[in-house]
Amino acid sequence: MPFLEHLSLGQYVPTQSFVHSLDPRAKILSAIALITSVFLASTSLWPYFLWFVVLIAISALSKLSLKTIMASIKPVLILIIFTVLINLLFASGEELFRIFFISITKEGLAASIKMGLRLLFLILFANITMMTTSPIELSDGIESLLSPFKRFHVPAHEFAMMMTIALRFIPTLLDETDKIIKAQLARGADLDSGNLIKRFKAFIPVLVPLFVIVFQRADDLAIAMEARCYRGGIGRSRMKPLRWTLSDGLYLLTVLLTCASGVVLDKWVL
Amino acid sequence: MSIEVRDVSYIYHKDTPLETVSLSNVSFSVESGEWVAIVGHTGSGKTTLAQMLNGLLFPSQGEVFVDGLKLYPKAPHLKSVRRKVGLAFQYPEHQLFAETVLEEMMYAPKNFGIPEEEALRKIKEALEIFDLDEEVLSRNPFELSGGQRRKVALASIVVTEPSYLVLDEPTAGLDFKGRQGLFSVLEAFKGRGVAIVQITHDIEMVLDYCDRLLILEDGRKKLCGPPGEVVEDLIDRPAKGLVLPDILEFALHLRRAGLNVPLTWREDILLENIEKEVSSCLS
Repeated sequence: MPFLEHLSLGQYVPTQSFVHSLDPRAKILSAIALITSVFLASTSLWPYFLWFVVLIAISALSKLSLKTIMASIKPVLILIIFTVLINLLFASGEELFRIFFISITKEGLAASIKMGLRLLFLILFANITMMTTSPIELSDGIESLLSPFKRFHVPAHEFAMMMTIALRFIPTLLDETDKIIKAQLARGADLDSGNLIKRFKAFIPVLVPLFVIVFQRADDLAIAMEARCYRGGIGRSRMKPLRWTLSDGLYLLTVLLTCASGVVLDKWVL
Repeated sequence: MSIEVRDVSYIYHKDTPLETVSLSNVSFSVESGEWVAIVGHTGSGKTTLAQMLNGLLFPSQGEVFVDGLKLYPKAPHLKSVRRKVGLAFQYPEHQLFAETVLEEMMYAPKNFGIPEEEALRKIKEALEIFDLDEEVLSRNPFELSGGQRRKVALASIVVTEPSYLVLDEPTAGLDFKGRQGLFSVLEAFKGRGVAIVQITHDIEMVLDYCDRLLILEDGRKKLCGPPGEVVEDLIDRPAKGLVLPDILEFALHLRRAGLNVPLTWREDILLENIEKEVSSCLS
């Protein structure tokens, strides 16, 4: 699949490590805590050193090299660069220097570095969770975390099932897309030249068959699930129930304390 | 005029934990007007090989030449090669996208810059070859029956008059009648000098049609030659996941049971041999 071979935004890396073996709920809650505190601690730059240390610690505990983790941001790198540039170019304040008509301000520079780092860590913490948790575990975890809200009619099980199915079909649909792209290329399609509108139009012969296949598959899957008496989450047991152990608690506690200290120090001490 | 595949290897997901060798050191050629069947088990690399014949995939090692032109990424002649080598994937009807059959069939000619009048003439010819009525042109391809959709999809590929036609499991999901129909269409193309490369896992189906059989096993070329020779070689050296023609399997069972049936790949002669042996045994 030369067209879609290198797509890996937080793809699960199956190995055995401390982080891999943790309860998915501990990992999801930690990720939420980390991401929230990255946003809260925004006065100065130094909390980012703390987040970096956390990243190194998780990388060591998960047996994923820092290089692998960093590589996972590749697909969104353009977004990060774009955000940094916007912040850099369109901020008003004390001018540092100017290149032709573009003036770089002190405030703009600070804001762009912070925004860039903030986005970077946000994506890294989200990715590391997905890289160490299998899609099934992830949706089990989400279902379990959402289940207290069931009494307010939040469809926790249905939500998790939808997520599992969506994740499960990503590779299948990538294969299908690749095949359709190739089939149209074989018929002389020109998918990567011309302006934006031309390119979009060139993709219609890929998108239409893809939608047809997606609906077909959804229909088939629904019939197959019904044939096996699927009726939503009521009374459903699981083969591997989630088990909260001491190490999950300790992990979450450590992360929460680190997050809290980062935010507190940033806001009130320094 | 030929497609030359020289010492080609292909590796998926190179330098990652998922690295898999799909093809290793495969060489063969397709001459114009020839019918070559590429036969192999699931995962033998036959589909990968097919995609290399018109530059949808490029070999990790080795070279592919179409009429003397080497294929490589972004080659300036890639588009003209794709016009020369028509390729139909398995279930080609999955590529249909247009609102009418006419629009669908116009897609390739437009992409290759064929003037509209000429394209219309070619579309009508293609419909005739596939035994489709002209009134089908105004219909929505998604309203057609499965067999008709397959025909429209194939017709929309051959409409640009390729000199080589590569088909990946073209008979998958067709009934006996549909299969016979497709084979007679392919024979008609062959009669016009078009080379056919058919990919399949069923030796028996292609035995009477193809000029040469290429057997792939785990990405390697196991055997290549006239179908008769190849099939007779397969008796002693079976290939992974491939079954011999039913009648030949039956004769082999008879031999194991002690009847000395002379083996041959020719179905009619083999039947006679079996008949003789069985009758002499009964009398």
